[in-house]
Amino acid sequence: MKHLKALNQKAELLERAAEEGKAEEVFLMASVAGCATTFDPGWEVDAFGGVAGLCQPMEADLYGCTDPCWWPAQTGDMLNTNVNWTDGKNAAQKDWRLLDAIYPED
Amino acid sequence: MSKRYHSRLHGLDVGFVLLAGLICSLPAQAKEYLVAVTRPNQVHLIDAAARKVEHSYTIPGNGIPSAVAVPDDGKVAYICTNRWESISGIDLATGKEVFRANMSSGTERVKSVFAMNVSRDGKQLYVHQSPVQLSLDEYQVEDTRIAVYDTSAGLDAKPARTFPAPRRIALLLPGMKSDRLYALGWDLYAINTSSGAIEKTYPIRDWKRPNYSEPDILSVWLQYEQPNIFSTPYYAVRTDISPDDPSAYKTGLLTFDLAKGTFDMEDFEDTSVVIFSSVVSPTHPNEVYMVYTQLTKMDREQHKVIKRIDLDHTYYAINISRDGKEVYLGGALGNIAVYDTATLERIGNIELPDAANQSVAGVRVVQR
Amino acid sequence: MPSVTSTKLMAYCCLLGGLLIAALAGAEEPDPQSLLMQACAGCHAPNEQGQLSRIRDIRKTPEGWDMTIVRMGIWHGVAMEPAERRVLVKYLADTQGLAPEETANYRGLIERRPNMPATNADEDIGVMCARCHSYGRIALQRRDEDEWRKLANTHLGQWPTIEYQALGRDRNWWEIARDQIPAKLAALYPFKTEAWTKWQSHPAIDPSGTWRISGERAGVGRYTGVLKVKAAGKDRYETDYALSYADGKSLTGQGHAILYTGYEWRGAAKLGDESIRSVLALSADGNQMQGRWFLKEADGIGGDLHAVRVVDGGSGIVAVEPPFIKAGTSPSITVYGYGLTGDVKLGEGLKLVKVVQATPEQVQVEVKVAEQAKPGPVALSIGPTQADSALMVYRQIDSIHVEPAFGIARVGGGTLRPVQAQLEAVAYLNGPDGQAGTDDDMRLGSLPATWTVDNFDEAAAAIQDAKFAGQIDGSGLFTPGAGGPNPERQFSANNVGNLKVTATVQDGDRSVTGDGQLIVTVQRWNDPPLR
Repeated sequence: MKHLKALNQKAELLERAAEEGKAEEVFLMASVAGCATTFDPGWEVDAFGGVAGLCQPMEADLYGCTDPCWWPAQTGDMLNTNVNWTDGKNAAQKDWRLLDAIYPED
Repeated sequence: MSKRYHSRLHGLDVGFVLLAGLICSLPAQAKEYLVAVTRPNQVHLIDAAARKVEHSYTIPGNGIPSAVAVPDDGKVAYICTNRWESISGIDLATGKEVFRANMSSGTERVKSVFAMNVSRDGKQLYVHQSPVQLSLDEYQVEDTRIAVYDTSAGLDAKPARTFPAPRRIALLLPGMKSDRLYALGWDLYAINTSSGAIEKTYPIRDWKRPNYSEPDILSVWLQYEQPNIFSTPYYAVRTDISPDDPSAYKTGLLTFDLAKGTFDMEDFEDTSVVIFSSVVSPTHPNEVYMVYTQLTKMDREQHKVIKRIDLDHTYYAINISRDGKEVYLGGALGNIAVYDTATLERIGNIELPDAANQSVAGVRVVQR
Repeated sequence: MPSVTSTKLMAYCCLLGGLLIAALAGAEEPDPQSLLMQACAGCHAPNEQGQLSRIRDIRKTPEGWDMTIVRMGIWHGVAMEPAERRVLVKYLADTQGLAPEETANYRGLIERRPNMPATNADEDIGVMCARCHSYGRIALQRRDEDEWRKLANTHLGQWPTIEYQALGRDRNWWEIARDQIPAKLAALYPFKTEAWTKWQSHPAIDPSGTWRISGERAGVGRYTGVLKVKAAGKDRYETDYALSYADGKSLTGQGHAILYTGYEWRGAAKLGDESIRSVLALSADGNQMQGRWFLKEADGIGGDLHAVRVVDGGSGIVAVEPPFIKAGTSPSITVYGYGLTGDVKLGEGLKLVKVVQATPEQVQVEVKVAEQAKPGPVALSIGPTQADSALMVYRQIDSIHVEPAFGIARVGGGTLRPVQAQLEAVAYLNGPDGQAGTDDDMRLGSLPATWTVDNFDEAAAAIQDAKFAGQIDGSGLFTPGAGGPNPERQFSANNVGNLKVTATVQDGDRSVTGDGQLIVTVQRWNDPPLR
């Protein structure tokens, strides 16, 4: 289980940082402006500034996120906003390639 | 082990005896089925033992299916669909739509956020509704409510009654008798299904434990139907332990015995993996199975993880066979994985048609 | 509920390409007020003055208005020709825009700078809004309390799970959103402000003319050059670029630009063989521009730009190359600017050896830097023209910072391009306290480095993130691996990863290293100009 202790992973990091007196630094190393910080479990980054705690693979989670508009600012919202976005693309594990960018290119 | 816990477990044993009686009273030919839904708008009846999709039906109208409710007789599946604005009742033998409630009307858009269920006897349907008025140039959020429908109301069903309900209810759990409904939100509310009165509040947000944060629960999957015990993981932080210390972060299990009304929350580990949903064994109520990217077996009596294995991908939802021998892992992608509860070995896999994703939906287990 | 079909949506998306900085319209442009009435008044009722409901109560950046119009297209099927859209955005940004002071703290967001650390000016608003958006996206809007409340209603009405998500479910989200946050937002970001009132009567600035420019494109290097701007209609300009990089490479390019709100420059150009966009802010006196340009196809890749207007009879220094020189050496340095005439004078510790070349645009000199020269900025002037912080002296590089310290790259594939991450190795001095990593550290600038990528921690090592997540080249450009589930990885995980990036810089015989953290993560399908 060593490899996916997402939460412990950060905890270990914190622990080490604490020993070195750098805990605060590690806590602050949180996010990039415009990325989601709704960490349940997170879209780009997990609660601990890593990716190991995210859904694996992302495609397992994609429609679980778009269908209940969990991260509408990052992915589509199938409830009200981008309702046709996934038409005919019901298996994210293979159909992810077909999904278009939602915001038009500038 | 605390005395409190001991007496509760003792109670569970009594529950088990009652449950065993219930199993015996089922028709002899009753067979176990799974009910699952997939995008864009399908419901599947799956022969659990054969690991085979027996029927796939298309739910009329616009998708995407989310919450699925099935009464004890396993005959009709009530499914939240149409972008969460409609409840469709599909006869699982014929695929025919036998109930339909379109909740939005006029300028009122009404969504149900996961919280929909049916009474155990199949007569009443409960929906927690989140309405918004769509004016031409602005939206106005309205108060949330619970609507009660008679399932005999047909294809243009209107609520038999509605009553105000707290916001952000994520699950509705029917009582063993249809006079009670339990709503999981900030706390767990016991609601009178006739009057709408909140008759009792089981504290979650208001669970005052010294040196603990409020517990956090993300629970949108239903899996109480075999043990008659609802369970869900929660996360809490010890405020008296340095946040640098991993032991400050606790994962625990909330259980609510629908038959006896006993409610309990106990930590079982320092948080080490994400867990989305859990199910209590109907035959060994001390055993709990939980899922996300790992499958975890936990002992409620010993408050500890017995075994944990990695899965092939993330699954949101778990459910269990009535004999307690296997668990079904679903939600997210387009398959349901079957694991042996004794060994946590993978003993089966059910591919859903076209590998279409289950997305946020869970798996229900019925006998019919 | 109005909705659009996907075909309509796609057609609509195609119409929007390059809206803010689209090519000049040949035909006569529609009148903005009648266009606004025609497109919006069906739902937004006019008042007695003919101002439309909701719209009249909001001020935004050009990008903000563009996103509003896009949203109305996606939500309600409001379709518009590109020329019409351009006219509307221009009209709204001009009449209901933000004053320079109101955008000053959030230029980086408008400039689409990648990997800016998330910071919240107000924590309550941060928790409410910035868990999905950058804080700046909110802070770049102006509304009164009632209008902010309407925005809260829109949010919960459109995205009902907001109150169920983390940081939503742990509080009475709706009561807070409805009853507390609007007043707070209105206090910080009100519709009526003195800054905006004043800016509306600010004399118009015409950027036409010649500009000396300088900047740095991360991973490529520092550059200087000339930008010529020629008027081509009201607030529209043609542009001509000539750039020289420090390594001698030069580039030319032509393009066009539009000035919004009297100071918001949005340009498009072909620079060498790359299509670029520029986002600059003109100074109130009209003599400077500051901002960033980036690749049209990848807004994370680009450079800073600082421009100084060439004024008749005036002078200015825009850059010194190299901008930092080592004690005990005798480097050649070049001063770039315009109107540079007169004696070269150097601050303490520097001695002029000889003037190699002197034109009004660039002055090249050889200098000797004393062994004991004090580390830090050193003054430099040519005749009356001074540059106080354009040149630094150092004895040794005390530390190397990888910038960004915490960065994001994204896998691509399918219809989305991967999002690369351009890293830089930036040399720092310890400053007076002699300690690295403290507030008095002094930034010297970026240097070439050798780059390595490793697993950030044991967890990353166990699933071989460094093997799968991508590669870094010699310029510090990280290119992520392909998107999609990877059957070779446990859980069929994507080629995501948590990486430690190390830059090693040679400082004489010493090598100095610095580390950064790079998260390689999943795609973003909704990627508007203000994220």
